[in-house]
Amino acid sequence: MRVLLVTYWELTHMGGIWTYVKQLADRLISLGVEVDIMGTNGANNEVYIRNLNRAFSKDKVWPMLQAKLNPTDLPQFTADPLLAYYELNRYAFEMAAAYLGVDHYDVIHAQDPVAAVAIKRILNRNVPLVTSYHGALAREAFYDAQNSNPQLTLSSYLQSKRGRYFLSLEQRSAAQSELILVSSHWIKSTLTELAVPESKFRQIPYAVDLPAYRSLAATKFRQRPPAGKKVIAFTGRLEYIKGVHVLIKALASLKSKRSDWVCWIAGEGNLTDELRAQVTAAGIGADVVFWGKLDNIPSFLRHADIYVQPSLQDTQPFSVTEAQLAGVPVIVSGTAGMPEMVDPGRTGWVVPPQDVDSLRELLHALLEDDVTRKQVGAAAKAWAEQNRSLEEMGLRTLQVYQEAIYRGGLTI
Amino acid sequence: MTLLVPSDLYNRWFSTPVSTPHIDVDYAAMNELMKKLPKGYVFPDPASMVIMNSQD
Repeated sequence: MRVLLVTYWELTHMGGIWTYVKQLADRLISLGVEVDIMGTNGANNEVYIRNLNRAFSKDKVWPMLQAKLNPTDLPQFTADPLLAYYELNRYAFEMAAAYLGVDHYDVIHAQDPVAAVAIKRILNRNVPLVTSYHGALAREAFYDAQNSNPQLTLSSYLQSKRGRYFLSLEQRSAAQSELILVSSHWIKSTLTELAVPESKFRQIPYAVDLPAYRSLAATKFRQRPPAGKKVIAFTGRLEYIKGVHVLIKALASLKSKRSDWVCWIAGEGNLTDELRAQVTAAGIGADVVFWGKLDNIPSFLRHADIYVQPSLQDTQPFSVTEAQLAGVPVIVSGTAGMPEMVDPGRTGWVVPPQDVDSLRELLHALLEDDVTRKQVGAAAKAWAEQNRSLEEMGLRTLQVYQEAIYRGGLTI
Repeated sequence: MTLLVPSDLYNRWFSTPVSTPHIDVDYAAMNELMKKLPKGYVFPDPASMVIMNSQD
C-alpha cells in the first residue's frame, strides 16, 4: 500500500502534529506500508516530499497567479486581501502538489482541510481520501482575529465572510473524504454541526512512542529547580490560542499568596516577547523561566510538579499526554477536547477556560498537597501508558486506510 | 538552462483570462503541469468564489 501523508501547512513547524505525522509514518513503514510525507517548507517557499527530497518552488507559479488574479480584473476575488492571499497560496500548493504527483497513491491522508480540498481538486482518478482534523480551522481563525479585536464573538465571526470561508473549507473537505479521523469527541462535534454524517468518523487518540519517550526521559535535564521551589510547567507554542497569558495572570496572583514555586515555560512563538513583558510587568520576572524551544521535553518534565495547559482551544494536546507520561499531575482548560483527557480528581483537573481565579486557587491547593499531586500524577501515568500506545494507533489507522480503499474513491 | 515562455500560453486555467505579457514562466514546469492537472481545473476555485462573491 502506498500512502501520502500531506499537509498544506509548514511541515516541521506544526508542534504536536509534526510529531504525529513522523510517528505515524514510522509505524506504518514498520507495518510494510510505503509512506511519503508532503508539506510546505516556508524557508524555501516550496512544497516538498520530505522523504524523497523532491520539491517544487511556489515561485514558479506565484507571479503568474498574482498577475492574472488581480484586483482590476477580479475585484471580488481580491475584495478581502486575507481570503485572496489564502486562495492564492492554496492554488500555488495545488500546482506544486500536482507537479510532484499525487495520482499514484492508494490512499491520501490529508492532515488538514486545506490540504484535503487542494488534493481533491488536482486528482485525476478516485484515490480514496482520509482527512484528519487536528484542529478546528474556522474557530482558530476566530481566536487569531479576537487577539486584535477583543470584542469579537465566535458566532458573529462564523457568520462573517471570513468565518463562512473557513467553515466551507472544513465542510468541503469532510464531504470529499471517504473517512474522517478525529482524536476527540469535541473535534468531531465541530464537524457534525456542519452536517457531516456520523458514519464517516473514526476516533483514534494521538499516541506516543513509549520506548522512545522513556529513553528521552532517562536523560538528565541541564538544570535543577531552585531549592525549596516546586515547578509549575507549560510546554507548547507561545501563541495567543495557547492561553499562556492566562497562566501568567494566575501566577501573578498566586505570588501574593506564596513563593514556593517557579514556572518553567518551554516553547517559542509569536507571543514570546509579549509574554516576557507581561511577566516583567507583573513583578514575577524572577519566578518564571522561558527556556525557549527544547528538544527533550520528557527530560524537562522530570523536574515538573504540576503541568498547566491553559489553552483557549485545543483538540488533544500532545503536551498534556507527555506530562501525564512523566507522572506529572495536569491541569487543563475546560474547553474543546481537553476535558476528555482527564478524569477530574483522579488523573488531573479541569478549570474553566480563561478563569484566572480558579486556576490560582487550584495551583495554591496543589502546591500545598504533595500526596494528592503524587497520587494523581501516578494515576495519569498509568492511564496514559495504557491508552496512548503507538502500536495501536498505527494498526487502527491502517485499518481506516483499508476501509477507505474498500469504500473506494468518491466520484470526482 | 530554464526556457521561459509567456504566461498567456496558460490562460486556459483561468476562468477570466487576463493578458500578462510581462510575466514569463518556466516552460518545463508548465508543460508538466499541463499534463498533470485535471481537465476542467480552473482559477479561481468556483466553490470559494460563491463565498467571496457574497455579502459580508
